[in-house]
Amino acid sequence: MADTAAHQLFLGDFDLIRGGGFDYRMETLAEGASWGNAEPIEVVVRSLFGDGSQVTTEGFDNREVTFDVMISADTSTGLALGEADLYRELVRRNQLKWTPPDGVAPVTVFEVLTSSLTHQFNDEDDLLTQRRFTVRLVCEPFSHSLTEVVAVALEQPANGVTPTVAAIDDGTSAAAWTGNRPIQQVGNYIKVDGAKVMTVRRNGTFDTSVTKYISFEYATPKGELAFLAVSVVPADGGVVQNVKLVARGPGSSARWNRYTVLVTGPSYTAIVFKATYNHFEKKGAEFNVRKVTRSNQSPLVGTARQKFRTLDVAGGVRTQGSLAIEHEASSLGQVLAYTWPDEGSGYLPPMRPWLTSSETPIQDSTLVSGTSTRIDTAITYDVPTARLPEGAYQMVARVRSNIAGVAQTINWTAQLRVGTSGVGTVLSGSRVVSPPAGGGWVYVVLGRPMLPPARVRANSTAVVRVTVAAASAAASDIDVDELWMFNMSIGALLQVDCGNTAPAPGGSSNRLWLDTQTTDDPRPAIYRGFSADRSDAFDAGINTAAWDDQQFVPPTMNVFTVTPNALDAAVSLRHFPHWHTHAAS
Amino acid sequence: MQRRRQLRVGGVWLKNIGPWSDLAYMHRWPGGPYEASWSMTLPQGFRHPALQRGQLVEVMDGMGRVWSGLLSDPDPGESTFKATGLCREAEQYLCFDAAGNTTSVPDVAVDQAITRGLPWVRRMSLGATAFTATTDPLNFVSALLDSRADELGQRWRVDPDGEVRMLPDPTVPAWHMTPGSVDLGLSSDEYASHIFLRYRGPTGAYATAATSDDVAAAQFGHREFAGDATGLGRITAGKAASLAAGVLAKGKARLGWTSGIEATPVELTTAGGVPADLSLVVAGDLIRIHGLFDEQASARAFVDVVVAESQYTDSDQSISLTPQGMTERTLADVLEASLTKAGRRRK
Repeated sequence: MADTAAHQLFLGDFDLIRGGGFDYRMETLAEGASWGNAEPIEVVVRSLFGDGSQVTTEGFDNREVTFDVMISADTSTGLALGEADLYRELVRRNQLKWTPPDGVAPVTVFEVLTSSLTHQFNDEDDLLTQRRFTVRLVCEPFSHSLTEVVAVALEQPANGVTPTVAAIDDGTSAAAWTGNRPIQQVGNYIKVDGAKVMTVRRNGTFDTSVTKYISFEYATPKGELAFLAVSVVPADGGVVQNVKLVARGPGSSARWNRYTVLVTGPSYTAIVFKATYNHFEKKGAEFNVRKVTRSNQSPLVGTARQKFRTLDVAGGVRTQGSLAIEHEASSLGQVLAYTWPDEGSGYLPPMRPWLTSSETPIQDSTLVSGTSTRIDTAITYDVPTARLPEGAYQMVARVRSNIAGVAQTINWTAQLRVGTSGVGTVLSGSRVVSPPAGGGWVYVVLGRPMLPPARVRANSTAVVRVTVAAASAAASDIDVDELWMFNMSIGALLQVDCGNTAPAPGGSSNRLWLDTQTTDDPRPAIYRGFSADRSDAFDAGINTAAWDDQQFVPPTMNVFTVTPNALDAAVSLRHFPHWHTHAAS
Repeated sequence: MQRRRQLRVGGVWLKNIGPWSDLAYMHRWPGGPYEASWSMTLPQGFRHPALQRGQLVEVMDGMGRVWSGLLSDPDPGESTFKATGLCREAEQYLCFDAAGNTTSVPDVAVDQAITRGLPWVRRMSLGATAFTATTDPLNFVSALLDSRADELGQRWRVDPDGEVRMLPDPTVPAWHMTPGSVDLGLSSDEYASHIFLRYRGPTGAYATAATSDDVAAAQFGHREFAGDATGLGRITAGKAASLAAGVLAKGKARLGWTSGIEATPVELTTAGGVPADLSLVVAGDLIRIHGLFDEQASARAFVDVVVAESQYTDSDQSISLTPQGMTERTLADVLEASLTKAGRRRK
């Protein structure tokens, strides 16, 4: 390898390029060197293809890094000392750190699981007082960056700050709008159509000194939206900024999606939407936007006890990490945390936004959804199929029975509805609930249906009607706080009881950490505690009712949390960015 | 990558103890969760209180149990752990009432076994009256439930949450197989059109109950089956007739199958066409196999089979399913069937 001052190769603290010193000199040879590669584990799946096969990649196996080193010295004793120093770094856990020659790219770290050393005998070497060895390192499949990063899901307003929502544009006038296509104002939204790439700009100064969350609703009645970019123009004349998507979810009515972005400056003079469409020649394109608002409140569903947010996952391949859910003052209660890679459908687990009929709900701000609803009469939810990615779902309800100690049955159904007609199979099930003596709220798994009940096309307007009702209205007294549909085919679920009394070391917890396995400790762990430095944290496995394997896939992971006892719990992910071979940050 | 179910043993999440892999589990109908195994290499001499015989083993999917049972005798030197399903515990508890007398009332036998430690929950009635007039032999709960199921033409199962229920075979398909995915051979080894059941009446006198399926006899031929219910104790003529009819109702007068089904998510879908999550396909489900002509029913271009046994290795892309009525063709299957019947003291 070129011996420049810029590049380095260390095994632990051992310099493989310029190591040694007085007793010997170490040189790593470029000839035959290899970083190896992560080995894909591929599975051929029998399919209905007449020709060819369906192949999936189940994971990746370890890589082998190999290179030769030449130890040279003035004496053969020096050669042996070099060999001994090198061997001390081998046959154990270690790290190989590589800095590319130009010194621009960051250090790449390979986690060494084990290693071996092979002497390459050559009868002339000892005459030349040099010896050549082959170093073989068995490493984790992917490399990682040297520095751990912390991705914070969303900034939270300070406790006690009153939520503020202000309109930027209500969509009822085209006056402030410009774009590369004719601006049309229809009903309560702005419409552009007729081009593969359309830019629509809302002009006019808006203050974001406090209200940093910009939300808007958009829809694409025609065409296949490939990409939506949002940027803002600073009022101080600075560079146009692309803004970060921090949340997405269903809009206020069927075909609309809601986006929330986070800005950092105090004030802007314009917000720009750029929509790019696939297959424009065949499918056309139409972009609608409305309800542009600014708020100091991060997105929530019902109350701030259940929140959806996104996490930036750095790196090029999936990574392990430590997910933290924390609140400064309140214990977290019975935490639900569901993570899934962003798949672009706007899917969210809570069903309350889709409720269409029920008994009169009772407002209760202490509950997760903000209301409780008796289910003597069925609760009905109509969920757009576009919001339910195909998969195996787990229906989880937070319920309370007012008849303690008596087992009661909850029935559920799910059916596809096209227009006003139910079509296809009616999925159904029931669950017996044994309420606790104190009459408190509990989580219950009602069923595990495959959804949607019937396949539909991507642009379908069909809904899945879900009903939940007590089996016997006369014999039961069951209230529902919220129903969630967790897609277990795409996401991972965690449920931990952190207690709901005032947080204290060894008692109820206001902090929860999920640590995935590492090479140093192949056992994942769940900790809960009081102090931010984890000094009083303890294993919460015994308090855990669900603990799926968590995977953090770049660039963005969605995180949905329910913390019944805490408002606005913070979420963050501490991780080393992982890369296929070379680190980019 | 396929998602993975989780293991919890004795209330401890197994991944908290150490890395594990190769989880495989089996369901049966009747029965429910039947067997499970996994691999786990532990340091020599390592012991953990959760890895003791009899600890509750739960296969978890999110917050839901998909399989539960009890840990079998763990061998620290072996890297494979096994668990038996909760339904198997019925083979370990005898039928007694609260006073310690033998009983043939299914509800009483199960309730008292639960009191003595059977890890079940009973919510529905399995039978509130005595099955036999006398209880001459000692019978296990499994034998009593098997007999009661035969009388009703139903099957009993214990679900992963430990609830025992008596249910008929399903009639609505839970899954559909695409045409061309499987071909099932027919076997007449277990077929019979005429059932003769030997029993002992209330006075102790031997008698024979008889029933037949004349349509099957006309289609597949006359074949007689001799059953022996004398080991149950003294039963009424009506009960004997119900037992014989139940044997017919559960498929004796149908031809069996010679092969099982190996299915992938592409070949196995919901009624709505959504590819199956294979972890949800269990014994007791009814699968409609399209593209197979049902030789045992007229004018049907599909065959409905109830799954008698499902074997799934977690996260695999295929599942092995044994249809109800599959003929025991291997020595292992024949031995298991014989020993199971002997162990339950039924002939």
